[in-house]
Amino acid sequence: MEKQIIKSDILKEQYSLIKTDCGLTIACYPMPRHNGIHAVFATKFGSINRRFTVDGEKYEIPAGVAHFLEHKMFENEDGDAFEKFAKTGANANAFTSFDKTCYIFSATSNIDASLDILLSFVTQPYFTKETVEKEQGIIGQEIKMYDDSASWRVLFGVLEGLYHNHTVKDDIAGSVESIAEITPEMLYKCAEAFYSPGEMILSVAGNITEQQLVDAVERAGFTAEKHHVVREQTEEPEDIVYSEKSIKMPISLPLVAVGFKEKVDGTVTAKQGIIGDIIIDILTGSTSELFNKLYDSNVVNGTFEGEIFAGEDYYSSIISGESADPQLLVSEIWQAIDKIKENGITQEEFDISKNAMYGSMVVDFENVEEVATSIVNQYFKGNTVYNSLEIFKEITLEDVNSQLKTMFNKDRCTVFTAYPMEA
Amino acid sequence: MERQTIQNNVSLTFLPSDKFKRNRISISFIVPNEKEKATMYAVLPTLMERGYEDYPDMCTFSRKLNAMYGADFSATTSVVGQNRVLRFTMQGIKNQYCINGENLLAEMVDVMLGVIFRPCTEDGGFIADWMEVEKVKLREEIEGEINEKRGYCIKNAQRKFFGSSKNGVERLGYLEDIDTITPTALYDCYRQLISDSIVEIMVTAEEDETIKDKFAAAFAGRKAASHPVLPVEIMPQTQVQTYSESMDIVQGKVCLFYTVKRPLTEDERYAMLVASAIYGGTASSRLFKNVREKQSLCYYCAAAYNGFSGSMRVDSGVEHHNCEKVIEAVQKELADLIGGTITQQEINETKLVLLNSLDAVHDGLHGLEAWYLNEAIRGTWTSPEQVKAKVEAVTEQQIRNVLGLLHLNVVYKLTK
Repeated sequence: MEKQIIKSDILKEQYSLIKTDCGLTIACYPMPRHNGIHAVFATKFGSINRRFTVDGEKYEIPAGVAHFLEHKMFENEDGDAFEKFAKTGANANAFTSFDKTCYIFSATSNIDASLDILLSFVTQPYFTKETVEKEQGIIGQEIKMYDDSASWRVLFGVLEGLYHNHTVKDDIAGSVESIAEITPEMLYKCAEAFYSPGEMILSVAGNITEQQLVDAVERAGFTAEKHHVVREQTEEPEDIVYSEKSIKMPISLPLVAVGFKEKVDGTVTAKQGIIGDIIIDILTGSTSELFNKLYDSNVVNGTFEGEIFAGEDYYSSIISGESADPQLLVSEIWQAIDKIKENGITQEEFDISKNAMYGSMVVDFENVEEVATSIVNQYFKGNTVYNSLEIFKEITLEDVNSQLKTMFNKDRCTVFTAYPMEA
Repeated sequence: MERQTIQNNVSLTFLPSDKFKRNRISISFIVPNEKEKATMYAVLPTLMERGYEDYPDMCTFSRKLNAMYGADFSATTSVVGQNRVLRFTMQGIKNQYCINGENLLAEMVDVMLGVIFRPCTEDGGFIADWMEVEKVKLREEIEGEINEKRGYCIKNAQRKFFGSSKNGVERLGYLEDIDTITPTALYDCYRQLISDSIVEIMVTAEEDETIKDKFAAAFAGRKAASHPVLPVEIMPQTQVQTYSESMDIVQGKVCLFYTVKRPLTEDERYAMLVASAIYGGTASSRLFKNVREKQSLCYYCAAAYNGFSGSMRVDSGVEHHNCEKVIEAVQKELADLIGGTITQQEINETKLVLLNSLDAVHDGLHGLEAWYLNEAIRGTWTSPEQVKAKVEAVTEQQIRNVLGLLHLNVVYKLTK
């Protein structure tokens, strides 16, 4: 067992990272004044991980397997996890994102018993043809629910426009067709690859001790299985698939998203991500000239926002919002981009945005759920949870203006609009 | 924690903040939920959020907030039973985390009071240009209700259920009233709100006499409010009214509204807390386990009881062809609870979930404040710990009895 203590001078807090003998990593962030805890048991297997090798053998899986597996892992031969968690009173759930799958619970009592349930379910896969078929129906319903969401459709419309091959363009849940290809064998293989202790982290924040977590892992009796798993990065050209597309939906106002495919050399770093956040805030946030002008001329409403959408090997900037005049909105966004790129960001703009971002980073350490989840996010990127606070201090105006020059290339831009039916 | 009266109808409560990184202040103005003023009360918060005399435009005010380490300021309007609550909230990091040693908490109080008592005005009214912009935004928001299908179905069911009761006066007001609002009428509405309302101030920060003094001075000279906080009004029982709306959507939606046959006693309120959770409030509830998991009739199916209006809502996302089956199944599950077996295990497990969530109330800034604001509106001052004891005492028979008080008034379907 190896233990590492990670400290923050700014927050005057610390947490421990323990590599257990079975290979599982434990993160323990004590917040003793809180009544409860939040636990996340996670694997770096998300919707984008569709091509990988396990001990040298190559696999390619259809869209939606990670999410499907998430649904099925909370079920074993003696019932489902929710029934077991009901006995401890914990509030349990699970979710799949682009780059990970997380099994979570929050509780204020019976913590040890809930940890046992969490650790036992996720590592004891149980799939039959019948249960897989039943789940195809349930997930089919979930996919349909998202089909009615304009913001979801527009996001994936932009991603499909920006990416030729990268699997980030596919819905996390897959499609009714892609999940129809899923078999119990495929699920067992993915579980074997991504759910062995060495591939996972148990991150807990709140009223908890290290010993409780170490004991829980010992009780789980994991064996150290060693699989060599390599997640393949996708070859993605610099250019885009299409520059413009639209759909019609039963909505009241057009919803438009303008996405820019940013250049990625190798792996996207945390610093690039934070700089992107500062730039997009200055360009589109509540203090920006663009937002204030568009809001007061009724081109946009409070739904207008800019975000950096990035993972290990993809990086895009997406500006979106409802607008009665999507063409005008797009042209105003382009003009604002031309202006900011020409003039650069000023020291004052940079200082104010950085100040606000510092505040939001401190706030991330207030709540047990945020802390436990952030540890997982950063761990999978090879960082500590305090990494952003540290990197952030070193970012200069020159760094920001230098990255700005490389961003928002109009040749790598997709505009996707959902119009109301009547239009 | 102590709730103290600092001026006529103005109460101040300090809530414990030691576990948080932020301080939070909220000032809530509580008035009867009148239809005539609903639209003005919807425009008012968004207009006041734009800035005040010291920071007299949206951009300058946003810069000020960013300079305060990204402090959040928001103004909202909500409906709680027969009452409307206009709430101004600010939260910002604690002084100990400020890089340059600022007293951010004191600044937060000043900003809050500035927004509330010194809004930007012109010619005896609010700034006309700002108001026109916010009217457009309100119109878009009301018309945009259709964009989120689950909420849209619930709102339509709710409209049918509440009819013309104050409970049902729209949170966002009415499209037809938007154009009638003038800057001076809105300013008069604002002045009346400030001077004639019940005010609840909640400060989640270390107790501080200077903060108390500032609030007391700001609200000095107030007369007693001309109205009390309005009590729970329950809807009368009706024949089941079924409505069906057609829309080109991928997943259908269903919403059912039940009313209680008579007002609940205090003990019955706690029994209903447990009963609604067993029925459809948890992942091991009857609706989740039977309607979603066993019968695979829907993607979600949940029940929620609203003590401020004595109503139970059940809503579900369904395949279009399963719509009628879900409506039947939802009623059958309720009948089974009332007339069939409820195991002690089921009751104990549900209580455990509730006890966990009651313990967790103290772990979140927002949840803690919302808890005590609701208590103030309800006219009780019960802590989560006291409710825990009440929940633990609920019996199987009490659960059956309160569920037996439910009567189905409205079914709303949104399908192809």
